[in-house]
Amino acid sequence: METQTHIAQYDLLFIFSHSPYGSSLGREGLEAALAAGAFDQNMAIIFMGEGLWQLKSQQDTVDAQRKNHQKMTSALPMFGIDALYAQASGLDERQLDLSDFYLAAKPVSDETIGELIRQAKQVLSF
Amino acid sequence: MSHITAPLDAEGFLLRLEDWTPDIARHIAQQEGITLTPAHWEIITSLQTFYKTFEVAPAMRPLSRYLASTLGKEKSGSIYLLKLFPGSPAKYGAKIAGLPKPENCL
Amino acid sequence: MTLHIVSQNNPFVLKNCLAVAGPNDALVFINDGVYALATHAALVKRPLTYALAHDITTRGLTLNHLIEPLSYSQFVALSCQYNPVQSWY
Repeated sequence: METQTHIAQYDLLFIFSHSPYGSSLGREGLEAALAAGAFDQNMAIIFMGEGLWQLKSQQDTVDAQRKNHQKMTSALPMFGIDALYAQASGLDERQLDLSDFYLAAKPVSDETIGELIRQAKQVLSF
Repeated sequence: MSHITAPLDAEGFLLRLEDWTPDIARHIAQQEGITLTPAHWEIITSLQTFYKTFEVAPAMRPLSRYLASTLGKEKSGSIYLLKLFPGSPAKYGAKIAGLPKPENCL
Repeated sequence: MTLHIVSQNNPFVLKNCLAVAGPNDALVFINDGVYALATHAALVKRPLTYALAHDITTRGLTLNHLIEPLSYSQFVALSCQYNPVQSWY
C-alpha cells in the first residue's frame, strides 16, 4: 500500500462505480470524461466496486449490436486522460487483477480513494 | 451529386457512417468551401479508422495525438490541419468523413 | 472533509461509501438511503452520521437516538460546511 503523503490533487475527479452495460451510467460517465479531457482538465478517474467491470477486457458487442464500452474507454489516453485508478479491494473481491484489464490503471487502497476525494476540487459520480 | 440522400442530422452530419461514400465527402466538402486533395483523404481515412477503433469522434487534441502516432508528427500539428480544414479541423474533418459531430465542438 | 450522501438502499452503494469515508468525513442518509440505517446496525454507532428526519418519518421508521436527525435547512448548512460533497448511487 502506498503512503498518503503524496496524494495527487485533481480539479476534476470522476468516480465510476457502475457496470458498463447494466445501466446508462457507465456510458454517460465516459462521455462526460472524454468531454472534460478534450478541454484539457487536470483530472483523474477512479474505477471502484462494480465500476471495475468497465475495464474488463474482451468485451464483444457485435452479436448484441450495442455500443462497445471497451472501445470508447480505450480512447481515454488519446483524450489525454492517463490518471486511472482501480480500487484494490474491489479487484480482490471480484477475483480480478490488472492483467484482466485492457487499460493500465493504478491500484489504490480505500484510504487513498477517500483521500483523493477529499483533495479533489470537484467530484463527479457515475 | 446535387444533394445527399443519406439521412443527416440538423447540422448536416451523416447519421450513419455506413452511408458514407467518397461522393458524399466531396459534396459536404464543397459546401464547406473545401476542395479535397490527397492530403485531405489521408486525414479522412484516419478519422474513420479512429471512429471504428474507439466509437467516438475525436476532438482536436485526440485527433492530433492520434495522427502523430499514425501519420507522423508533421501531419498532426494544428497549423497543418487548419490549412486543410480551416476553422475547425475536428468538426469539418468529422463532417466530411461521415462521423458524428465531436462532443466538445460548439 | 467530504460529505457523503447516500440516497439509495443498495449494498454496492453502501459498501463503496463506507469503504472510502474517513473518520472525519460526514455521512448523510436521505431518500431510500435511510432504509440502510434500519438494517445496518454498525452504521448507527458511527460518529458524524446523519439522516434527513423527514425521510425517516415518511417511511414509518424510527430514528435511533444515536443518529443525528437533520431538517432540510440543517442539511443545507452541512452541505456548505463540507467540501467536496459526494453523492453515492
